[in-house]
Amino acid sequence: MRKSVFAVLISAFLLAFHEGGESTTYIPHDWPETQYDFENNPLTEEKIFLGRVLFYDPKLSRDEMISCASCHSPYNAFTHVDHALSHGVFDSIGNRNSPALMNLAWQASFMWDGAINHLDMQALAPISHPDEMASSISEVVDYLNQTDHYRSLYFQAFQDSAATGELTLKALSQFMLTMVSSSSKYDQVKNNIASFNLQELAGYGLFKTHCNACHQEPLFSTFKFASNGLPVDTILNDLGRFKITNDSSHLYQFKIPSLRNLAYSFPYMHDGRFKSITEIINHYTTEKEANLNVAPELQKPMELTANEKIDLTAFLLTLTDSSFVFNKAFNYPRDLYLNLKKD
Amino acid sequence: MARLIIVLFFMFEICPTIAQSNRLPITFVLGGNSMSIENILEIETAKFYVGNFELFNNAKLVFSEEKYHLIDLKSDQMLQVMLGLSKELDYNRIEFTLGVDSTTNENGAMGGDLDPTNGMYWTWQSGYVNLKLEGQLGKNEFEFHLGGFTNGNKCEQLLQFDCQKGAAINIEFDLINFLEKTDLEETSQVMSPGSTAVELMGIAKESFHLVE
Repeated sequence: MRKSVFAVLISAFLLAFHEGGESTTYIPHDWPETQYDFENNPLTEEKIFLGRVLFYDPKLSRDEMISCASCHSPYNAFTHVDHALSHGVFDSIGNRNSPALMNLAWQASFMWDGAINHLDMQALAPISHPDEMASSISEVVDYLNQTDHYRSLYFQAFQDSAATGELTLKALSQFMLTMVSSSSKYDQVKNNIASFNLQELAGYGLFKTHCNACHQEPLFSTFKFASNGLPVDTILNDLGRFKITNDSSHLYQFKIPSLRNLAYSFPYMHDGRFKSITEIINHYTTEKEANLNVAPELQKPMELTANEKIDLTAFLLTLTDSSFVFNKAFNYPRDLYLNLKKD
Repeated sequence: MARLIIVLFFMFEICPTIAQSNRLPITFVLGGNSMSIENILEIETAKFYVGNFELFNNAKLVFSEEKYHLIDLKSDQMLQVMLGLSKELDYNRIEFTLGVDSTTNENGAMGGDLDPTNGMYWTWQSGYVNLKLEGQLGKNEFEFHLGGFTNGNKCEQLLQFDCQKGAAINIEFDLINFLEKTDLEETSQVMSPGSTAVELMGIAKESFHLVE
């Protein structure tokens, strides 16, 4: 599935540009090949827009209150704050912390346990889960086909006003594929248009020693699975990837999240147990409990002085990409609804 | 949900001669005349994927179609696969798969019979359900969603039948045989990939027969 996507780089820090309806997600020049096969779903302005409208539409859910954006708000790097565990229709509470969405084209599997093997199919899970949107893709497609403005949006995007499951999922992928975060201070330093201060530089050194094996540059994750030795929550008793593979070597393993936009994406970990970067670092400097299938890299606690912890935090904050978080192209499609009201 | 009570499913004349036609219909029917116990079978769902149809003439591949078809034994509209052949084509064997292969399972969103709105795609994890059977036999309710495409869980099956040029192909799924061999007292619900799904797909394969 691994395909390379060639795009002419006008700037490594632009997200997208449009030309005659066709749109290209920019791939920063030093990033690895994408996992997503863009040839199967070439981006266009109209399909991306349709995906954006779908992403923000709460009518896709059973109680018409929960949209994708409810748990994946742009201002929080497409996750949500305040809640350790994500909540869905009728105030039901799920059992995991919604992951931040960014740089999805580089990921081969989705969800904390990697249950989903393709970005296109990911949305089926929250649409159907009884504690999330509690609907089904067929009910969603029925609603879309009965809604005038969607018939027009599907026609503009696919030259066919009829929504199908395939087209709906592909449109959602299109919008999510534009969520490329590559304009943090770290990126600017790498492109020689900014420089780290001494504290950040020291933190970068510590990062490379202690964190880079799992949170590999430039995406700040290998997107593989590992147990970082979090004590098991006895109420949730979340077994992680083991539940998907039934392989005991996968017990308590979760997908390694990217560290990009950490400043916006709290709380942290699969169950949202940590509220601050300090808590995360303290976890890694603490001895782990036995029988948690801890990754080899984490068997020994990291040894960091108080000052080093501050340096490391300073570096992690250079992964903050405010142009990503405040990109208007990701916002609620207000104009569409204002125009609909006028009509 | 409407329930269909079937003791025996009779197949009527749906096999017209096709000697002059360049279309080869392959019709699936629900069977169960091997029933040895007096039970009433209620079927809510009986759906499966078939695909990658190939025709052979004395072991030589003469026709292939890379496509999946969803068969719904409870819908009159979804019982048949139509292959487009040239009139001159000679063949004496047909092969096709029961279930969806790994590549298709890893391809992302697909349309037509593979559209997830058909209810044959898992939502809590990736993958097509190859065979979905729901209902009740006697006192035993059953719910089988059989699929799996990763190493060790792969359960797509290859079906092979000798056939004759000029005759439509009718294939019976002997559900009673499947349910009897499955032993519903022991196993009545399989909803995820794994060794049980692999084993049951093997039983399903043996429950398909060409109807002369």
